[in-house]
Formats: sequence, C-alpha cells, structure tokens
Amino acid sequence: MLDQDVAKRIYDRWVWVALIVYSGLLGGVITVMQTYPDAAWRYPVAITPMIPWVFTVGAYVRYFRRMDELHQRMALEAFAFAFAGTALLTFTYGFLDFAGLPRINWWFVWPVMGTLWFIGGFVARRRWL
Amino acid sequence: MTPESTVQAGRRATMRRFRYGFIIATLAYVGLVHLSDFVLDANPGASWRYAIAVLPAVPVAVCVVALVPYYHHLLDELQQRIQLEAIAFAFLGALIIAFVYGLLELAGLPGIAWKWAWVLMVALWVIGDWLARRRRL
Amino acid sequence: MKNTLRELRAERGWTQADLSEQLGVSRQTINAIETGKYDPSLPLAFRIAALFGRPIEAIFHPDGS
Repeated sequence: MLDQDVAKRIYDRWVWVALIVYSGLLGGVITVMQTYPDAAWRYPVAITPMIPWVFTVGAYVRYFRRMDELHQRMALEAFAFAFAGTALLTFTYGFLDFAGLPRINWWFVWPVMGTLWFIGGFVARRRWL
Repeated sequence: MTPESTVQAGRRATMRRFRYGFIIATLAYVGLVHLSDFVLDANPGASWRYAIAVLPAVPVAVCVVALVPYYHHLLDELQQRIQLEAIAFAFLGALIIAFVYGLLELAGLPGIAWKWAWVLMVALWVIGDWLARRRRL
Repeated sequence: MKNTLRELRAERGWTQADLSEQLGVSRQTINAIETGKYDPSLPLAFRIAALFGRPIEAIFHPDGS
C-alpha cells in the first residue's frame, strides 16, 4: 500500500474521532456557558472544542505531504474552489445584511467553507481523473 | 513566427481580455451599488428588495467565474503553484479563524457581519502569496 | 503532451497498479498520465524513464510535433 493511502486512512480516522469528541465538548461548552454566563474564564473554555481538530489538521498535513503530485494539485484546487466560493458567498451576504436580512453568526461560516471544500474536491477529481 | 512569440502574443491577447473584463466588472459593480442604494432608499419595505440588494454581487461573481481561467492561463506553472499554495493558506487560515470566532461567539463575543469574512480571506491571501513566494522563488 | 506509457506498460505486462507501486504514485495518477490529462513533473518523468530504461523524449512527446 502506498504511504499516501496509509496517511489517508489515518486522516479519515481522525476526522471521525474529532467529530465525536468535538460534539461532546461542544455540548459541554454550551451547558457551561449557560450556567456561568459571566465567568472570566469562559473564553478559554469556549475554544476547547477545537482541540480534537488540531490533531485532524496535523493528520491532514501529513497526508498532504505524502500525496503524489497530482493529488497535491487536486487538493490545492479544491481549496481554491472553496476559497472563491466562500469569498463570493460572504460578499453577497454582505449586501443582503445591508438590505435587512439578519446577521448570521460566524458559527455558520466554517460549515459553508467545509461544504464548498468538499464540492471543490469533487470538481477537481472530475477534472483530472 | 517562432513558437515563443506565438505564446507571447496569446498571453498578451489574454491579458487584454482579462483587463477589459475586469474594468467592465468594476464599472458594473460601482453602477449597480449606486442603483441598488437608490432603489432601496425609495422602496424601503418592498418584498423584492433583497433581489435588488444582491445585484452588485452579480458582476463580481461573473468576474470570478469567467476571469479566473484567464488569469490562470497567464501564469506559468510555478506561478500557478504559488497562487494555489497562497490560496490554500488563506482558505485554511480563514477556516480556523472562523471556527474559533464562532466558538467565542458562544462565550459572548459580539457577532460580526459576514462581509468581514471575505475581507479577512483576501488579507490572508496577500500574506499567503508573500509566504509562498518566499518559499519558492 | 502525448506519451507512450500505456504501450510500454503493456509490453511488460504490468497493470496500472503494478506501475503505481514501482513509481510510488497512485494508480489514478498513472491513469491521468496515460490518458494525457496530466503531465508529470520532471522528477516523476525521470523516474518513469529510468524504470523503462529509455530517455524521456522516447516516452513523452510535445503535442505539436
């Protein structure tokens, strides 16, 4: 098996681990925030759900380094697609916000980015494979 | 004509098209911003005001979708790689910042308008471009 | 770029997977090179040339000529 495939398997596993740990931590954080709305330490506590993702990002970086040149290219193109898509969407929403639609929390920015990244990966694969 | 000069001529033609496209899109954007402002001011309660509000985004979207391939064509393979790396950096940076800020909103930090997300992304692109150039050139 | 990778591979009776293993790139990348969708980097082109014991220009040809 290629190093690339091994690294992908490890990365895939980390995505699931992070999703599960993140959901648990997020639930905990929301409860804590409601219980102690004024505590000074709530900011550092609020960002704890990102800890599992640090490992996922690390696993992705290792995976990227082990990708062959075409897979690296496709990965970069997927990012570029998602970048353009996110920038356009947030740009457009700026106008809707101005016209009176409610502000959306930044909370929802990263799921949008993740979804566009996924679509970008699909588009890049169609182009090259 | 030697092959080099054909390539050069092709690049120049592409560059021209790119520049015209960019200028037209910018003018359309500026015009539509004023038009939509005017229409929205005159009809504050209209149900179709959202459709008017997004009009200025249309030339920008067309610009991005139609001109990116041209822009890409203007770059040699190393420049393309540098741009892709810079954009990947900007995307990941923005993803991480948006993720962390979303969590801090839970803790009570004020919400920020979405339009700052694209400003952040462009700023990170500039930084990524600088980093990628330092690494590769 | 055009190339004769598919023919050379067939001569040796290798599958795309065999070739991918020997070159350390994925099978999908081998396929993209064979179909002319992707031009390999210079280091990869040299690895391919070394594997088949031929000069690069005997395997890869610019589109025009």
